[in-house]
Amino acid sequence: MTSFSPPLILTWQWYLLIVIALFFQIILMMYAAPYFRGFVDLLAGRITGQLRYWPGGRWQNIRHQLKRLGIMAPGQQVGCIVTRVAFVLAIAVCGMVPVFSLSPPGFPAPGLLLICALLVLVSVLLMLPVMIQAGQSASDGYLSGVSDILLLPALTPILLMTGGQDLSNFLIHTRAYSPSGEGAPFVLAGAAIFLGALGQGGSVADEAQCPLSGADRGLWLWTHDILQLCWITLAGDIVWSGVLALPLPEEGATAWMVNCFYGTGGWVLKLVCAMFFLVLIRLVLLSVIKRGRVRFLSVFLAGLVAWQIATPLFLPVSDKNEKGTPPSHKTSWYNEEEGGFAP
Amino acid sequence: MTLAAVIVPFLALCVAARSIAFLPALGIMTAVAMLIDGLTPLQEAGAAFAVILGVGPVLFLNFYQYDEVRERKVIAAPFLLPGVMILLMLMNLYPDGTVFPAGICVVMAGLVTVSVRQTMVWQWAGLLTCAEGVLLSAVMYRQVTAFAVTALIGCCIAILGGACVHRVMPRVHVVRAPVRQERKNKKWQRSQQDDGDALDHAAGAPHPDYVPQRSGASDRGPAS
Repeated sequence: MTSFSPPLILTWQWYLLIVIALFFQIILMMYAAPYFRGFVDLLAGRITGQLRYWPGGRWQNIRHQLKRLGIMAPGQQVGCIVTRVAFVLAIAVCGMVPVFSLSPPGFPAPGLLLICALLVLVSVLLMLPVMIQAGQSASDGYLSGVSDILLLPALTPILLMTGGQDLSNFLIHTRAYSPSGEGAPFVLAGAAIFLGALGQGGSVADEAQCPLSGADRGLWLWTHDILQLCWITLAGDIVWSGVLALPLPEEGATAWMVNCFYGTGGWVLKLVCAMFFLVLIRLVLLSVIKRGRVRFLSVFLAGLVAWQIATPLFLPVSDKNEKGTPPSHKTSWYNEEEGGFAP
Repeated sequence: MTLAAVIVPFLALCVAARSIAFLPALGIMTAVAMLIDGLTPLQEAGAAFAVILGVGPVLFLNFYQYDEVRERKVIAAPFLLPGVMILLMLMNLYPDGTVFPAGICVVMAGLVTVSVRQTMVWQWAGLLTCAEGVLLSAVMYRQVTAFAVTALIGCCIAILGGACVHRVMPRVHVVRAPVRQERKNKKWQRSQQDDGDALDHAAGAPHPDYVPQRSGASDRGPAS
């Protein structure tokens, strides 16, 4: 497997620009998450014939909860702390998932394993307040927690496909392929991550069982929404990474910002598609255990097939040339000889 | 290799795991996978046969009642099939690089369906899936003879299966309730014959144009 990480010295202007973009991305994700959830609920309600609030209702609910005084249920001190930790981790993940721009090689960026592990950790932490209750809700919480943890082994083929490289490097590699042609395995990989994200939304039953109240409950709801949006953004990135902006030395900062604008549009488009798929999948009625089984099987299968099909794409370029198929990607997008670039 | 060619085996898997209802989608996606590579006569003919073999049987089955009672629950089928497909892909991975064996995977899915499922309709779906897979392979590797033979066999399977379905399964008849129809006709005739006023008087309701007079409003006059 080839990886693209040319030695690159980033200038401090680029560092500053990318840090500002990351900050903006975090704010965007945090603000958009409740709206996305609201839209999904609204559309699902329309299709199933139920009355739902308008999409901003979710955000209003969260704000209302944040202003309320909390009542501490006995034994829930741990739940409060854990929810806050999960919220902070979720904000960190918002900065790690590429939304509209890739970070150039050389900029510290996480790998897919770290992002997935953090997302799973956040969902397990969010289930802890439900788990430490008494009665039936505790067993339901354990079930959700176990299904969250099992998601990581199911994602193994995709993690193997990505390898140890940064997610940005991997996406720089895959953005040369079109999703409907050569990039089909990455569409499968994205579909696997999307299917894995189905259980991450925080269902109505989970919300009813959550014993928290006040600001903690608001944070709990908000973190659930952020978590779902992060999973779906991650899946969308892997499906179609060509729309993400990439800072190029010869084009400069202005062109990069325009590409960021297009990247944001592409992100919204991906979210709309994901919304329709989420609503369609909600129409499939299965019992909890059976749904989990089908979900893990499809995640694993899609990931494995994606890894299988994508393996020839990762073969060294020279081998491909000998066989006569033209390589469609360059090995480097950067001026390695000049030692870097400035905006 | 295109996205359509990757999706086709998954649709075949859905036919094996769920029901024949995925067969039209399989046929249409097979046709798309054939047509994306180019528009030679072989590909066009292959796409036409794929759509006919996929959509036709399901349309035909709409006229018959489908009972799933005799089908035994086989949990292993959806798990068995991925294993076979992945083994197949592992075998085919390195020899000549990027060709994804979509057609062979579809054939495997069809064979698993035929061997695991018991219902007649499901087995018919399995055979048709096999035919789709061989058609796809023949078109992808440009084998005209294989394509012609498969198209012929596919048509035979479709016709013979249709004859079996016609012989065994009860037909769906949409029957209008005769009594209700007569009553509806009588009511309509009566409404044409009767005068609207007569009905209103019989019900005791005032005429729609009736305006109640204000009693004593003119006697009082304006307040002075």
